[in-house]
Amino acid sequence: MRIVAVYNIKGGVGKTATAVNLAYLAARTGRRTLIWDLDPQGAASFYFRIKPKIKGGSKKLIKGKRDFDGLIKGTDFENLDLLPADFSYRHMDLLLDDAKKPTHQLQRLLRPLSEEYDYVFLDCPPSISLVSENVFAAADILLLPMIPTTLSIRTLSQLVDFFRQHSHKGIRVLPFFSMVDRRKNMHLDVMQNLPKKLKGMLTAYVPYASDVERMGIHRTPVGEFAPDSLAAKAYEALWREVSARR
Amino acid sequence: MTPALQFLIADERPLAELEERLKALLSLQFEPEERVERRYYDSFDWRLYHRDLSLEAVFAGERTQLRLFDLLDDSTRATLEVTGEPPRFAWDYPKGALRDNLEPMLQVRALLPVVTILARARRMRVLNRDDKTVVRLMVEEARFRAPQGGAEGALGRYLRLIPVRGYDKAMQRTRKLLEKELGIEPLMEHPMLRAVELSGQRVGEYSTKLDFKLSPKRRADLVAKEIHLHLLRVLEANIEGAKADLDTEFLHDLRVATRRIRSALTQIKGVFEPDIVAHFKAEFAWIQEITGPTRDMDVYLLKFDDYRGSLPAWVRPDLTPFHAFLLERRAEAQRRLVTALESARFRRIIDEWRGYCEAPVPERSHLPNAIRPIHWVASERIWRMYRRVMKEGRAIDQNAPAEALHELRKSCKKLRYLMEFFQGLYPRRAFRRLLKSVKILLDNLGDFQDFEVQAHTLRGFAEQMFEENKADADTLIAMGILVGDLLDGQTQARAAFEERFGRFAEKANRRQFKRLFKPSGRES
Repeated sequence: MRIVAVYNIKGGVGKTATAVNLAYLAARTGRRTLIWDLDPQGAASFYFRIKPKIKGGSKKLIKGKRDFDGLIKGTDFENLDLLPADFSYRHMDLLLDDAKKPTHQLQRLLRPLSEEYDYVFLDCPPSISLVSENVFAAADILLLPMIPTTLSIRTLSQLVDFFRQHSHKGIRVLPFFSMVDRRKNMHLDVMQNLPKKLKGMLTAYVPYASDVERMGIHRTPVGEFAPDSLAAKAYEALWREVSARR
Repeated sequence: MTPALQFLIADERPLAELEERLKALLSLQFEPEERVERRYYDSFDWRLYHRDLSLEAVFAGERTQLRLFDLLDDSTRATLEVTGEPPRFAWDYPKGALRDNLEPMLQVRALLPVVTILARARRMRVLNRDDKTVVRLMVEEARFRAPQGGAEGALGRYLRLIPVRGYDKAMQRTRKLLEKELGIEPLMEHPMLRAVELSGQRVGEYSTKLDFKLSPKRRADLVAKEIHLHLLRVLEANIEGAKADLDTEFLHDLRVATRRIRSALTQIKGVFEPDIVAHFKAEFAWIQEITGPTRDMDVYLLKFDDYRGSLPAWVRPDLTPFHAFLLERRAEAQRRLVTALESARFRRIIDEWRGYCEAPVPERSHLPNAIRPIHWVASERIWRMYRRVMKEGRAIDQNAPAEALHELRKSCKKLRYLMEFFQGLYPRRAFRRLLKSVKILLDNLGDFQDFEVQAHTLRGFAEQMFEENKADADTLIAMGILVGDLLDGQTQARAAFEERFGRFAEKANRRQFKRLFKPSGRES
C-alpha cells in the first residue's frame, strides 16, 4: 500500500482537485484506491456525492473505538473508495495531542488497510499542525501543488527546512506546479527558473482551467465529464509521473 | 463486506430485453457496451488454484491490469499494471504486494495461460436518491478460448452483482429483488473454472502425488500396471513443457517419474516377464541419461544465488563468469535434450510401455508374484527393503567408507518409493509417520552425496573453464571457496548421520515397521 498525501501549508492551491483526480486515475488502472478526506470542509466528499459525516466523529476514530470498516464508502467508480470528512476534524489536533504517540495516530489507523488498498490518497487540510505531522509520518509520497509565484517558493523553502529539521525518513517530497496561468509572465518566469534547483520537482503541471472548477457542478473527476480537456490530460501526465516513482 | 455475486442467466432472449427488464426493476445508469478480454494464469500444477486463487489479466491496449483474486468470493489480493503479457516468473515482478503473494506459492514455477474469457459486457450502476452509486451490475455475454489456438466456444450469459463498500443494505435488497423477479440463484463456481472445464482441461488435475486407492486383494500384476500407467501419464504430461523449456520443473518432474518407473520395474518383483523388465529398465535408464545434463545445469543455476550469497561480498562479482558458463552449457544441453525427446527411440519407449501396461493381464501366470494379492507382495517387498536399510545402516561406523553411505541411500530410496506406491494399503497415520522417518534419514544421506557430487562437479567446471580460457585466477579462487564450503557441508552431513540413523532405528519405529509390513499368517 502506498500512501500519497496531497499537501500544502497554503489553501486554494488545488490540493483537493489533485487528490480527487489522481485517485480516480489510480482506480481506473485497476488499483484499489482509497481517498481520505481529512479536510473538515469536506470538498473531496462533496465531489463524490458522499455526505461529509462519519459516525461518532473523529473522537471515536482516534480513541480506537471505531475502525474504518463501517465508515468507508464506495464511490461511483470501481476500485475507488472514500473515507468521508467530518466537521469534527477541525478539532483533530486536540484529540491527537491526547493520544499516546500523537504524531503516529494516522499511521496506526491506516495500517489495517494495507492488504485492502494499493493506494491511499490523503487530502490534507492546509497549515502545519499535528494533523500534518501525522500525515508526514504516514505518507510515502508528499505531493505538493504549488502556484508558480515568488511567495510559494518561499513557502516551499520553509517546508523543506521543516523536513530537514524533523527528518521524516522515507518520505518523498514531490512538488509540482498547479493552477498555472500561461498568460502570466511571473508564472512562466518562476517555472523556468525554479525546477533545476529543486530535488523531486515533477515536470508535469496542472494548468489553471475552468474545467477543474466545473468539477463542483458535475460532482465527478475531470476525466469523467471532460476526458479530452487540457486539465484531464494534465492530471494523467501527473499521475504517470507519480506512479512511476518507486 | 458482502462478496460479489455471479448469476448464470439461462434465458436465451436478446440481451436488450434483459436490460429492459432490469431497467424496469431498478433505478439504473447504463455505461456504454464494451468488449473485455480476461486471461487467467496459473502454474502447470495449479498452485494458485489449490489456494483458491487465480491471476487475472485484463488487456487494454498496451497496458495490462493484473489482479490476484480469491476464486471463492472474487475479492482482490493484489494488483499491478504491466505492459503486454504478465511476467512468467515471480522473480520477474517488481517488488510489491503481487510479488510478495506470488513468490512463496510459485517458487520456480512459471505462470502459464489457463484460459481466456472474451466478453461483450454492459456495466450498470444502481443509484440511490442522491444519484449516488450503491450497487454495480454487469451483464456479460461470454466466450472461452483455450490457450494456443485450443478449443473455443460459448461460456454463457452472466450477471454480476458487485457491492459498493458501505452500501450493504442496497446490495442485499438488489440481490433479493433479482432472485425473486428473474428467478435466478447465485453461482457457487467462478466463471473461470467453468471456462477451464469447457475448454477440455481439468482444473487442478495435475499431481505427482502417489496416493493410489488400492484394494488389498487385487492381483499384484494388475496393480503394478495401474501404478505404471499413472507414472507414465505424469512423465508424458511433462514432455511438452520440458521441450519448450517453460520452467525447470517440467524436466524435474519428468525425471522423477522416470526414476519411479525404474524403481517400480525392479522393486515390484516377480509380476512382469523378466525380459520385459530387463528391456524397459535399460530403456528408461536411457531416458534418465538423456535428461541428466540439462537438469544438472538447472540445479547449479537454481543454486547460483545461494552459492554467490555464501561468499564474502568482495568475492561475489568474481563468480559472474561461472554463471555465464552455466548458461552456455545449459543452452547446449537443452538443444540435445529436445532432439532426444523428439527421437523415434523416445517415442517408441513411451508407446510400447503404454501398450504393455494397457494390455490385459493373463488369467494364469508362472511368475511368482503376478496373481498374488498386492497387499502381500507389497508388505513382503517393503519389509525386505526395510531390513536391508537397517542392516546396511547398522554396519556404518565412524570408519565406514563414503560408498557405504551411498549404498544405504540407494536402498533407502527404494524403500521410500515402495512405501509411496503402496501407501493406500496401510493405516494412514501410522504409515505417514514411518514414511516421514524414511524421508528424514534420506535427506541426510542425500546431503552427504549431493555436497560431494556438487564439489566434484564444480571442480570439473573450474577445470573446463580454465582450459577454455573462461576463468581468471579470481574466478577460480571464488569457485575454490565454494568447493571448500561444499566439502564442509558434506563433513557436517556425515557427522549428523549417526544421530539421524539412530532416530530412524529407534524401538518405536522398528515396532511400527514390523506391525505394518512383516508378513505373517496365511495368504488369502
